[in-house]
Amino acid sequence: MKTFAPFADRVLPWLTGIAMLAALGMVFLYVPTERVQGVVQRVFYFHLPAAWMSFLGFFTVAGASASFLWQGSRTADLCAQAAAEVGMVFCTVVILTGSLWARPIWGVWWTWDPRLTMVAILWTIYAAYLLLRILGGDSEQVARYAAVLGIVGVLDIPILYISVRLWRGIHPKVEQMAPEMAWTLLVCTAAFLCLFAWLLWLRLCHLSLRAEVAALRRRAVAVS
Amino acid sequence: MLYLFAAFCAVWIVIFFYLVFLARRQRALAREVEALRHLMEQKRAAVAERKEGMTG
Amino acid sequence: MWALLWKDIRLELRTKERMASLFVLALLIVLVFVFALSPERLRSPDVSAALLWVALVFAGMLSLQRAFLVEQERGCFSGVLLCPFDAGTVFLAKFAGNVLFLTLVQVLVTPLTLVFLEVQLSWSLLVLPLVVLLGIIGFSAMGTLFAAMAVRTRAREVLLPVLLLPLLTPLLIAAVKVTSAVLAGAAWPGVWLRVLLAFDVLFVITGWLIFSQVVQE
Repeated sequence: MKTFAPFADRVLPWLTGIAMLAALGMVFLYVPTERVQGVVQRVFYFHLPAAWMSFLGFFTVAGASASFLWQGSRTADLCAQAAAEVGMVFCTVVILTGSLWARPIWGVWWTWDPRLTMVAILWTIYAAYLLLRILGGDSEQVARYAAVLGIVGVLDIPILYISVRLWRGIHPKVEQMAPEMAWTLLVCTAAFLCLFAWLLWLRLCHLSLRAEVAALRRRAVAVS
Repeated sequence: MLYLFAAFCAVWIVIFFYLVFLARRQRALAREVEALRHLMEQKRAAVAERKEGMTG
Repeated sequence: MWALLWKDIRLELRTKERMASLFVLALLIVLVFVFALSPERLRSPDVSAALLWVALVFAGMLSLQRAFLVEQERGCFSGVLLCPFDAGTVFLAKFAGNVLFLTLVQVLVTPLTLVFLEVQLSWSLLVLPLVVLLGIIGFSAMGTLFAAMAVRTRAREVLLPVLLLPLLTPLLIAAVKVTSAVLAGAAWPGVWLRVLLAFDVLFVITGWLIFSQVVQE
């Protein structure tokens, strides 16, 4: 964590800003308008990277949870909590952008398509995760429960994916893309990756600082 | 066009709210640190006073 | 494991409160649905299947809470943990107890539901017990894991359903699909049965492996 700090504190915000500006520029100025869907299709360049980032967040939760449970790393526990929050932020972005895209294209805000269902359920799983953290407080036990939930949640994903895909099946699949589109998507993904890393870092710093303050306060109380 | 605009607004609004949430947490933490420092100073003052009382 | 399971069974035999409350609750949920929905709606196999599982999930939730609450309230669970078993065994015992109680309740509730809903009798109904049992196994495996957690937090009544229901979605989708196919006398829903089975296997093993992390003091 320490070796990463100077980079994350000084470079990452700027990198995120520049990448985001580049991404916006490419989405609105560079990439050609899609023939069938029209301008609304430009939402896709933010929608898909956000979806990837939310998955990245949820897998980070699982990885960090496992590291916390079996290696007892405190930082990993904080990392899991931060990743769950950031994953939820991106998951919310996915649902909102998707809804606003679906309204003009499909004519509805929401439909129970497999991927939509999946994202909605993932949202509730990680909402439950955060709720457990909030209701449970900061105890060691709750941290372990949350870690178990983080791992079980990820184990649930493949089987959830299979069952919702069998259940209903209209989401557009990404087929051949024009090179300009692919480049735009790439830049947007890079920008979102930076944003993800930056938000995660901010939250992680804050959480570890809070843990330190809590420890200090316990010591102060013990002394007096 | 309207939907496109709304969608991009939605992205920034969500991220903005998360940053606001983080900032508020940060401020709460700063307050707590301040309170702790205050406590420490009080305690230090009390200890110093006691020492003075012993020497004088 | 058998000793632990036997302890839970004996406790239940003495009071019978868990079974009785489960049975009444499941039946009431079915009745509420019967009153709330129009008779034409009730005849659709999709609705009957959904109803059967909603009743089972709520009754199951209550059963899970009772399973740990009795010991938690009297502080006996640490006694259970002090016994020379590993945590996985405790998990299996609790899980088996839950499967047993829920199955016994469903033996009564499922036929009654079918009667209330005027389901047409057919040979395909013979598979229904298997489907219900598979659903109960998956539900209990994940439920035991999370009930053990939820019961030791402050907001246990709220937390258990909030944690459990999203994770159970694949199981519920599969279970409702199979049940409605069976009730309608439709083609053999092999794919869904496999999903159900995969869920059961995955979560019994996961629960057995990870339970030690939950009960650690």
